[in-house]
Amino acid sequence: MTEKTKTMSITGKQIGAFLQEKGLIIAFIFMCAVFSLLSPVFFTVSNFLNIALQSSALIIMGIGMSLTIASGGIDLTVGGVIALTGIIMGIMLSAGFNLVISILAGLLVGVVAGVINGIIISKFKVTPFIATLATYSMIRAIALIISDGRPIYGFPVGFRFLGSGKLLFNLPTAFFIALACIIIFNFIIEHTRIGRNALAIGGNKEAARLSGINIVTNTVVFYALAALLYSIAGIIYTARLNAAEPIAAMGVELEVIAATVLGGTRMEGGYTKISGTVIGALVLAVLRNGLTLLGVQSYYQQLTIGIVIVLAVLADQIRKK
Amino acid sequence: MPRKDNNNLLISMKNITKSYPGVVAVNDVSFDLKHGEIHGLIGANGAGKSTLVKIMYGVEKQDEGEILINGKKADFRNPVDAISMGVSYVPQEVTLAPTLNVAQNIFLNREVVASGVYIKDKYMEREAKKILDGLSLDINVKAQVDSLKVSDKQMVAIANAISRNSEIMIFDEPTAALNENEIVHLFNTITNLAKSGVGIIFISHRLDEIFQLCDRTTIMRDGFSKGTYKKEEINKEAAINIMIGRDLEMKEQDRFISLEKPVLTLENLGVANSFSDANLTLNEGEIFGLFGQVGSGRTELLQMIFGAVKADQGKILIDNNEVKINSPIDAIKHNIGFVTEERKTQGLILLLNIEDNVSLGNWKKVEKIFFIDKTLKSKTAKEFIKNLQIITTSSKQLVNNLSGGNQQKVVLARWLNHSTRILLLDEPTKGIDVGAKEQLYQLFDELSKEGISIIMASSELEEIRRCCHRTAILKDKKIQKIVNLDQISDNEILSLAM
Repeated sequence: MTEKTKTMSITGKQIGAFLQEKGLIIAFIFMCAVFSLLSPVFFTVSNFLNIALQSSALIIMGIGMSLTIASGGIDLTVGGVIALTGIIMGIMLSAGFNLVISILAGLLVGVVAGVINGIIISKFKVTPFIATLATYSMIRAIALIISDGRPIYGFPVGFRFLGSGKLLFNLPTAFFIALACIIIFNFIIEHTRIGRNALAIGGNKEAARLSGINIVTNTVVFYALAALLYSIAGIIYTARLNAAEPIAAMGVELEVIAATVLGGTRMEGGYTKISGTVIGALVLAVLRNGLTLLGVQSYYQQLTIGIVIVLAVLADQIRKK
Repeated sequence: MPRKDNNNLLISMKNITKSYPGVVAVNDVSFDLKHGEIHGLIGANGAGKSTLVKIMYGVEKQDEGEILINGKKADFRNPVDAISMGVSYVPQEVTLAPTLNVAQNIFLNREVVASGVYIKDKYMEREAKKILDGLSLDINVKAQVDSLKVSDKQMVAIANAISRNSEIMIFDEPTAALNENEIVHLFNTITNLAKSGVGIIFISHRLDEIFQLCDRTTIMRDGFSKGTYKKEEINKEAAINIMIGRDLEMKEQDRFISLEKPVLTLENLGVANSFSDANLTLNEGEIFGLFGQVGSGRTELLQMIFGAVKADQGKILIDNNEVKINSPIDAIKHNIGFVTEERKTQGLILLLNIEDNVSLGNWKKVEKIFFIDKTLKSKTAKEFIKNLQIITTSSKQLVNNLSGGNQQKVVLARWLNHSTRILLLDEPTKGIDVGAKEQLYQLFDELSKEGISIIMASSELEEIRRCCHRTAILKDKKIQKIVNLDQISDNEILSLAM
């Protein structure tokens, strides 16, 4: 008991993070309440299922982003990986490849992209921002080149099930995929060496290096895992639209970063909480959903999201004082 | 288990040479370490100690020469290789992962895992507690590292090295951030480790502790080894002479201080929960000391005077007129300058050159209409380089490439350029070697002769005695007493400070 109180008093930052998470939850509930009052459609089962479907991909991408940001980096390749994953799968499915093999090929896109990012960043010591900006451009270009700029339509039912299909309790398949990602990656970040090394490298790279942590290998693993998650999100995207578009998910990385920041991940690296990122993604998804229901133009939605991010960061700074 | 076989050397480095562009950092140095030995490594900044040690730990690779560890040829590509051969290193700048907790840091990269993946944090916390208890340290193993005091961080870094059970341990300036008690603890620990057969390399600028602790000492200068001496073969004065290659004048200088001209007066100055009731008077041309251990409130007091922390009690008088200092901007308006303890993070922009660092925050002095006059900026910097004897290849040299002493002079130059009358110095010679320290002291003397009044906070009594006539003794965030240094013994001062 005493040990518990002692910990509480000393790790003020953890409490801070906890409060922020709570603060975010409170803001989230408040937001839901307001939308419920203003729109008769918001507080309905079918709308919640809709939100679950809309937020799944964002949550999955957010987890990947959280890992790279916590390790002291950032990853701008999200949208490119999503597009290329879709195109590769689309081409393979159209060519008559088996569903499982096509999906594995799609996932491989993410892993390869992540490994390349990791090597450029750690081996050639290019700033993550620049490195992933460059690879993003290349990945997007490859998607456009091999698809000749045209979307690929018409996928087997089994594949579409991954996007818009329903599993238990009428919940979308994508929701369960996101749930699995949350559980697995929460474990990885909290309880395995991969997560520990990410926080150590993000907190103080030199300390990590001197303690014998292999920066190159670890960085490659972080970016590969992150991009693997983008590919998973890419599969959901493609399945939901029933189309693979080379220009899919333009600018999605900004929304993913926003969800991560809202969730309390430290931009300088060294700290992240998957639960925070999940709530951050939910806040953005509910905000979009609610504003759409209220008939707010998408330009104003964008504006509102910007304001929410600024407010969240301000609240965080005030609390820290 | 004590090992008797002293012929079997733990480390044997032969003819090691390492060059960087423009400088030979280590020049044909041979060095060895025996089982159970504490081996001191001293030398001025830039003498090559750190480079030599980095080669031992695989951080740098030698250009020539070979390293044998326990008789086996070692070819370190990186620290991982060195660690696997039983070498541990506690670096000078504490390197911990700030957002992880104490236990996680002690076991960093050696996490105990179950089923091959699951990190057993609870188990590691218990083990970490045992290690810290063994060092008689009361540090919460669950505390996040960046919430710890500097000295606790240092002890965590040391605990990490000790817990690796390495045969060879390198300590690079481990005492810089520790107080007397912690130093005693550390020395006991090191002595016990040596008794158990561990070989220890100990780098320090504090020669007293080197000669107290070390069995043998190697002295380096300008990249060369200037010999390895047994404890009984050398003393402090001789070592200094070898280190700097000449006799140092360490004489205190007598100076007349007009005690009738108060420049700065503090009356009951304080801030809730931090520092209470500071009363002192600083006279024109005086160097006034603030002596106290780490955590005694030296920095807090200086920050209050400078407005970096806003005082909520008492008043500040300049030339006997009350002034309001609510921010550093106010302080600078009243010609107060503050040389902070962390010159690299708080004092300088390392990636700018000397010229820019000197004129930083004071651009109007070198501005013509609306653009910066480069010739004037350059001229200003060159004057200071000459007057303060800053050693550099050019005024356009990046501050990052200067030695500690010269960096500190650049900080001083910036304040002097601001027409500072009252200079606050917080541990101004931290991490600076003996020769350069003396140069800084002489500089402070000259400044005070020119009428600049200085408050100098330090944890080194020797330094306070060298520079000041009067000092305040601080403990528990309070001024315990203000004394004339020629009327009080070291023991009396220390007993007031501890």
